[in-house]
Amino acid sequence: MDPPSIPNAQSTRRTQQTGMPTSLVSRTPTSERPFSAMTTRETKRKAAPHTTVGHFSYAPTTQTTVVTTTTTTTTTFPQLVMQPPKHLNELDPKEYPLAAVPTPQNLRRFCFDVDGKTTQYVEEDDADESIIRLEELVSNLNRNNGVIRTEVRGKEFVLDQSSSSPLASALASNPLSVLNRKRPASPISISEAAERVATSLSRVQKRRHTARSRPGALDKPNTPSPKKGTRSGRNTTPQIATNDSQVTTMTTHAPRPIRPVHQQLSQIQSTTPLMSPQQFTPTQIPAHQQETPLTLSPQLVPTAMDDDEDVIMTGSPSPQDDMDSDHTAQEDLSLDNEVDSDDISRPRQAGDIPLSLPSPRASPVTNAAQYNGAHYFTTMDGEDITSPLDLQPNEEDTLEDTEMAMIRTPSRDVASMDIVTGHMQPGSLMEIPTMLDTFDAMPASVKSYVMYQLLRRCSKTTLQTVASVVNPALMCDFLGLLPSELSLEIIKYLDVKSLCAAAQVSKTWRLLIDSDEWTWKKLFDADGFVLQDGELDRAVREGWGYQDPRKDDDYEIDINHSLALTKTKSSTGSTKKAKLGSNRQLRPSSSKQKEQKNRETVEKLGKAAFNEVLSEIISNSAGPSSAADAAERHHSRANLGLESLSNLHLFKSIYRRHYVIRRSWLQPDVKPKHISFRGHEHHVVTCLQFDMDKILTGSDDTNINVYDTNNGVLRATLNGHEGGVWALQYDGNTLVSGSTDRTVRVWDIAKGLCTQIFHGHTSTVRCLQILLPTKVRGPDGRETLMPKYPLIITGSRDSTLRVWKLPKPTDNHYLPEGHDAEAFLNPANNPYFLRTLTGHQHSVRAISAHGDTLVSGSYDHTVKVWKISTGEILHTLRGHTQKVYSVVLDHQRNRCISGSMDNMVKVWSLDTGTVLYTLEGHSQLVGLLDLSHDRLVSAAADSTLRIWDPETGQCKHTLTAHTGAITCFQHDETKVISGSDRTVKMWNIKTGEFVRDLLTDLTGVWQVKFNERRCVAAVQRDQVTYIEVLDFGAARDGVPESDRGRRIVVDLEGNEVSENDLMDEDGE
Amino acid sequence: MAVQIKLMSSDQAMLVVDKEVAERSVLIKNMLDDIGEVDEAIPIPNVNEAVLKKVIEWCEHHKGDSPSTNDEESDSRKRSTDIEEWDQKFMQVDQEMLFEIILAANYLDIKPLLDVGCKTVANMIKGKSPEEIRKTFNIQNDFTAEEEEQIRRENEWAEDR
Repeated sequence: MDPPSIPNAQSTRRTQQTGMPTSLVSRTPTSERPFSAMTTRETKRKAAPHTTVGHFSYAPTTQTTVVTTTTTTTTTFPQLVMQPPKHLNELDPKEYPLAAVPTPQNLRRFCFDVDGKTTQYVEEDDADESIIRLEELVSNLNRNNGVIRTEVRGKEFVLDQSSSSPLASALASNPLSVLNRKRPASPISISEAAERVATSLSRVQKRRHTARSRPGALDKPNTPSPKKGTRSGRNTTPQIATNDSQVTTMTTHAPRPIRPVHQQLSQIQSTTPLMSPQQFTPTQIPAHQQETPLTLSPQLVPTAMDDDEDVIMTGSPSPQDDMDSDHTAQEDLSLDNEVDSDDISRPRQAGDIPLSLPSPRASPVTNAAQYNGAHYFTTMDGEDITSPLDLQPNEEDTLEDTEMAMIRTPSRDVASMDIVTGHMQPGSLMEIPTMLDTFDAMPASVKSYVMYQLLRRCSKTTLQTVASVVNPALMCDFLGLLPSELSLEIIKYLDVKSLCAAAQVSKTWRLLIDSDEWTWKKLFDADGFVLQDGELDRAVREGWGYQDPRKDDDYEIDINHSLALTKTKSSTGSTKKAKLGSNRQLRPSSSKQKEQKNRETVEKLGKAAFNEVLSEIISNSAGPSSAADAAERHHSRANLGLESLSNLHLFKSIYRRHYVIRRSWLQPDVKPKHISFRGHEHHVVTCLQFDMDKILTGSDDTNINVYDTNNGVLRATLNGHEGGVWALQYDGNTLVSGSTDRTVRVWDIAKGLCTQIFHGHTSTVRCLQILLPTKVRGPDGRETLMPKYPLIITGSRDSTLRVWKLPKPTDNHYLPEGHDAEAFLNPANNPYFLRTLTGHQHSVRAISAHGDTLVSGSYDHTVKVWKISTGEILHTLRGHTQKVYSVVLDHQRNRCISGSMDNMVKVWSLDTGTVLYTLEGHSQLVGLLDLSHDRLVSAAADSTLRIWDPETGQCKHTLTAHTGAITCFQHDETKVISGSDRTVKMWNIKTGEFVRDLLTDLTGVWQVKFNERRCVAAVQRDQVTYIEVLDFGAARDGVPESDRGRRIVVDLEGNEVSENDLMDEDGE
Repeated sequence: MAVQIKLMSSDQAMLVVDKEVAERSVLIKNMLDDIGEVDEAIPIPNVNEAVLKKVIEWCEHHKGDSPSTNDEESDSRKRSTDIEEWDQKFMQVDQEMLFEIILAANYLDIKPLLDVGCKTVANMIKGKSPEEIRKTFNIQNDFTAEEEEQIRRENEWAEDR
C-alpha cells in the first residue's frame, strides 16, 4: 500500500501547484475523460444540477479564523465566498423553488462559538464582484503561472499572516492545532499522528490516496484499503486530522476564492469509506470544475488545477488534487488548504507564491465533516494553516502536505461524485450516520445555514415532505400550552361560531372554552342579550349548565325533576360527565385539579350534594333589584362557584338559550305563543313599555295599565291624570308619565301608587325621558358621570322643556293638590324641579338626551341642542321647513338626526351645528326615527320605512309593504318590526326583506315594542283595543306546540276565553 | 441623546435599547423607576435573544404610541380582531415564535403587544371548522367517536343554518 500511495502523493503535489493557477476547467474534464471515470463524470454532471443550489460567499476577510471541534464538525473562519454553482441556473425554479432564492438575510451572517471561540460567517453581498476578483486572480495566474504566482503568494502570505494571528491563537488553543503545527514542522510527527488516527481516518486518507492516484492510474489506485495502508506508511499528513473527536482549526487566507456549498455537502457524503476511488477522483473533478469555474471563482482555481493535471500527465505537478478539491466542496476546502500549504511550501521553495489561489480553496470553512470528513478537514486545516505559517520555512513540510492533498483529493472526488450524480453509492449510504454525526456537531447557526443550502437543492417533492414534517413541528397548540389566563385572552376575541368550533377541537380546548364563564358572559352582553329577572337563578337551580338541548325546539329542563323522574337518563348523563371529567385532567391550568376534585365530589355525592352546591351558588347570586346589576354581580360570583364545577357551562347554556330564541324570530317553523287581552276599551294607546315581567300602557283614557307579561293579567290601573296620558317611561319600579293635564306624575309601579306630582308646564306634556347618569368623556378627556343624578326631562306644548330630579323610591311623597295655586304657579317650590329650558317658539314634539346633552325637536321647525347642566342653548339647528316630529341623539358621533313634516331626515353635526346630510326619500311626514345597532331607521306617513347607514347617510333599504302610515316600529340588529293600519310586519334589517306578518286583521296599530323573546303590540280589532303578546321564547320554556302559533285570548285573570265571551263581558 | 439601557436575554445576549423603547414594558419601566439609572444589563431571564429582539422591534415601532385608552369594555364589546397593518406583518412568524412573543409580552407586561398576539391567534381560529383548527395548530383529536358526536351535537346550534 505504502509504495503506491507515495508516488501518488508526489503526483498530487504537482497537481496542486498546477491546479492553483488553473482557470481552465473545461480542459480538465477533457483530460479526465480519457480516464475510465469519463462516464461517471457525465452522470455526475447531470446530478450536479441538484447540488448547485447554494452560493456561499465567505467574506474575503483576511482575519477570520475558524475552529471546528469534535469529530464531526469543523468550522472555517477565513473569508469564504460561496458562490452559486452554475447548476442553479439550470434548475427549474418550479421544481426547485429555493434554488435561486438568495440566502435570507438572517442566514447571511452569523456567529457561533467553537470551543469557546467566536466564529463568524459572512456571506458576501456581491457574489459577482467577488467572483470577478477571483477570476482575475485565476486568469492572471493562468497567464503567468510562475511570476504572478509568486507575487500573489507574497500577498497571500501577508494576508495569511494577518489572518494567521487569530488562526494561530485558535490553533494554539486546540490540540489539533498543535498537531497541525507539528505536522508542518516535522512531517514525521504528522505521520505518527496519522497512524494513531489511522483507523478512523484511514478512510479519508484512502480517499485522498485515490485522488492522488488519479493523475497516474487515477481511479484504481484509489481503492480504500490499500490507501489506508499507504497513508500510515506515508507521511500521512491526513493522520493529524484523523482523531475521531479532533477539533479542526481552519485558518483562512485572506483572498481565498469561493467554494460552492454543494461541494461541502457532497464531501460529507463522500466521506464514506466505501466510496470507489475510481469514480470519484477523475470524473467528479472534471465535471465540477467545468461547472464551478464559471460561476465560482474558487472553482476556477481548481480548474486550473485540472489543466495542471494535464500537465501532470506530462510530468508537471499533479493537478488532480486541485481539481478534486475544486469539485468537492468540503474536501476541496481541506484539500485546498493542503494544496495551499503545499503550494506555499513549493512556491516558497521555488519562489512560486501563486499559492494564493489555493488559499481560496482552503477557505472551505465548513468542515462539518463526518468522521472521515472531519479528519480530512482537520488535517487539511492543520496542514493549511501550518503550510502558510510553518510550511514556508520547511520544504519537507510542503512535501508532506502535498501528499496529504493527494490523499484528500480522491476522497473529495468520491464525495462529489455522490452528490453530483445523485447515485447512492454504497459508500455514501454507509456514511449517512457520519453525516448525521457531523451535522449534530455543528453549532445551531451553522446548522441553519447548512440546512438552507440543503433545501435549495431539494425539489418541490422533497420540500413538501420537509414541510409536512417541519410545519406541524413548528405549530403550537396555543390554548393547550399557554397558561390558561393567556388562553382566555385569546378566547375572548372569538365569536360564538368560532367558540363552538374551537370547543370541539380537543378535550383541553373544550374544557377551556366551555367553562370560561367570563367569555360567555361578555359575549352574551356584547350580543345584546339581557338576562331575565330570575333567569340566572333559575338556570342555576335547574342545572342549565349541565344541559345541552340540541334542536331549536328543544329546551332546558329542571334537572332536579329529570333526576328524580328519569333515573336512567340522568345516570347516563353522569357517566358522560365522569368521562369528561377524566379528560379534564389534561387541562394544564393550576385550577384544574381543584376543579376536578370538585367535579368528582359533585359526581360522588350525587343529587343531594349537587343540589346543595347549586343552592349555594344561588344564594351567592341572590339578586339586586336591577336586572343588570344582578347579572353583573351574580356573574362574578357565579364565576367562582362555577370554577369549582368545571363541568358546568352555565353562561354558555344561557347564551345558547338566548341565541336560539333570537334566531327563532326569523324562522317560520318556530311558532310563538300568542296571547291577547283587552285594555283601555276603545281608546288609543299612546305609549307602551314592557319587560319580561310587566307591560305598561298609557292611554288617552287618562289611565296607565300594568299587565303581567307572561299571562296578560291586569295587575293595576294607575289613575290620577286628569287628561290623556301621552308619554311615559319607567326605570325599575319608578314610572314617570306626562299628560294633557300639564302634570308630570311619578308612580310606584308595584304598589300602583302615585308618589309625586310635578306642576310647571303650562300645556300638554308631550314627551319625556328619564336620563340616567352615564360616563361621558369631557373636553379634557377625562370621564365623568353625567348627569350627576337621574333626571327627568319633559317637553311640552308650552314650547319649554323642564328638567327635574328623578325621585328615589325612598323619597317622601310629594303630592300637591292639583288646585293648590301656589304649587301650580310657583313650581320653584318643587324640590325636584331644576330648571326650565326656554327658546323654542312652538310645541316641543320630541326629545333625546345623553349625558349632559339634550336635543329637542319642535313645531317651530328647529332642533335645539342644550347643555342640560346649565340650560344653555348650544346650537339651534335650522334647515327643516316644517314641523320637526322626531329627533335622535347620536352621541357616539356627536350628531343628531331629525325627521320632519317636510319629508326630510337631516343629520346634524353637534360640533358645528350644521347639516351633514339630508336624507331624502320619504314622500310624507317622517314621524318616527330610531337609532340603534348601528342602523338608523325612519318611518313615515308614506307607508314606508327606510334603513340608513348612520355614518354615511346612505339609504340601505326601503321597506315597502304597508298600506298606511307607519304608526310605530322598533328595530335591532336583525329585524325591524313595524305597525301600520292593518298589520304588524317583521323585516330582515340586513336584507330589507319582508319576513312575515306578526299580526293581521287589525283595524289599527297604536304601539309595538319587542325585546329578546317577546313582541308586544297595542292594536285595535274592530274598534276594540287589545294588547297582543307574541312570545318567541315559549318553545324554549317547553310550551307544547299545541299552545303555540294560535291567538289565545285571555281575560283579566289570564284565563283563556273566547272572544265572544269578552264581548259579552264588555256588553254587560 | 436618548438614554440607553442594556438588556440581557436568557441566553446571555446583550441588547442595547433606548430607555423609551424598553419602557414600553411595564415590568422594565417599574424596575427602572425603582432602581433608577443602571449601568448593568437588566436580566430578562424568561426571554431568549431571538424573541427579545422581536419584542424590541415591536416596541421600537410603537414607542410613540399614546398610552392605550384601555377601554376594555368597548374593546371586548366590539370583539374586534382588527390588527393594524404593521402589526400584522410583524406577527407573520412561525407559531413557535408567536407563542414566545405572547409569553414574553405577558412577562414583560406589554399589554398592547399581548393583545396583538392574542388577536393574531384568534384570527387563526376564526371561521374554521374543528378539523381545520386542529390542522392549523397540529392538535390531536383526543375524542372518541362517540364523544365527538356528542360534542358536535352540543355545539351545532351555533352553526349557520
